[in-house]
Amino acid sequence: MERYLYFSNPNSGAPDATQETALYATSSLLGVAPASATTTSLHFVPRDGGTNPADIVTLTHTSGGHKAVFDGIASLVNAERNNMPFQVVADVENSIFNISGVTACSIASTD
Amino acid sequence: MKTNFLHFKSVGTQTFTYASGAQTVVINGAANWDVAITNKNQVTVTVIDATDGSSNDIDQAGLSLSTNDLTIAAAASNGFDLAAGDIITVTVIPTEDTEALFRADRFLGVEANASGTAVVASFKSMKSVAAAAGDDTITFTITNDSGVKNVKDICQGMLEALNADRNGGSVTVLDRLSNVGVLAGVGTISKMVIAVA
Repeated sequence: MERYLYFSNPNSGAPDATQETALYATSSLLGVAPASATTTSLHFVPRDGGTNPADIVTLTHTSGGHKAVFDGIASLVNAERNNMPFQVVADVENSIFNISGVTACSIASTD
Repeated sequence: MKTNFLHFKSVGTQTFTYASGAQTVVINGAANWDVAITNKNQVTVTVIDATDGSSNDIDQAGLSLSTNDLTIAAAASNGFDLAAGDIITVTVIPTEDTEALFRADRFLGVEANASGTAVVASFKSMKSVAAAAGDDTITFTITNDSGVKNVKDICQGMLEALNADRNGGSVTVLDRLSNVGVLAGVGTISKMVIAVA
């Protein structure tokens, strides 16, 4: 069964523009790497069906908290907690962050 | 499908105790730096004041770098007036070339290069799925033992990491900063360079 990662970061109120929410298949996750001391980039196969560049979801977290994000993403991809197909990583509108230290997210896609 | 993720972290920090004279420290030594620091913007500098124990982050405007010599300007120029006993810590700012998490199912292989002192682990690019995309690589510097042991040990370590968790999870292959991971103490690794294409 395929699992999916959910991200939401509306500017305000309901999501009403592209790149405010995203759902990616876990198999689309290509890799994860720091972008700065307080941000980590998650690279995904582009949603628009293209090949390059990858879509990027950036998680903001406590300084130096990259390993916690790495461990959290690996856990969510493998649904270690609940074995559910729908895994919420960051849902800003509902103040749900399922990785320790994460406080915000942003989505950059080519679609 | 359960998937393992492989974690690599390079080393990039050094601490100095100031004595006297020029406010310059020498970085990029092989023992402390996997990533070559070529721009002051790649590092943060913190000074622990020996007098009062306070921690002071130095503004980028108060730093200058000439090859391996990193100089902290005077306090009047956005730097800090060092005194004997002050502890200076220089730390690389995390980027995709200092730490990364790769999918096990995007692992391509391991090979030694012609020098006999470098072993390269390759993964499919994390930034593109285009056919022409370059690979992401981890290059380990090792001692040349004519292929007797070091390369093979690294290959076996990679295999162990790739299959470490049947339920999927994050596996530290090598964290050079903390000296932990499947490859810690393996293969005479003296340097690890992460290159995300």
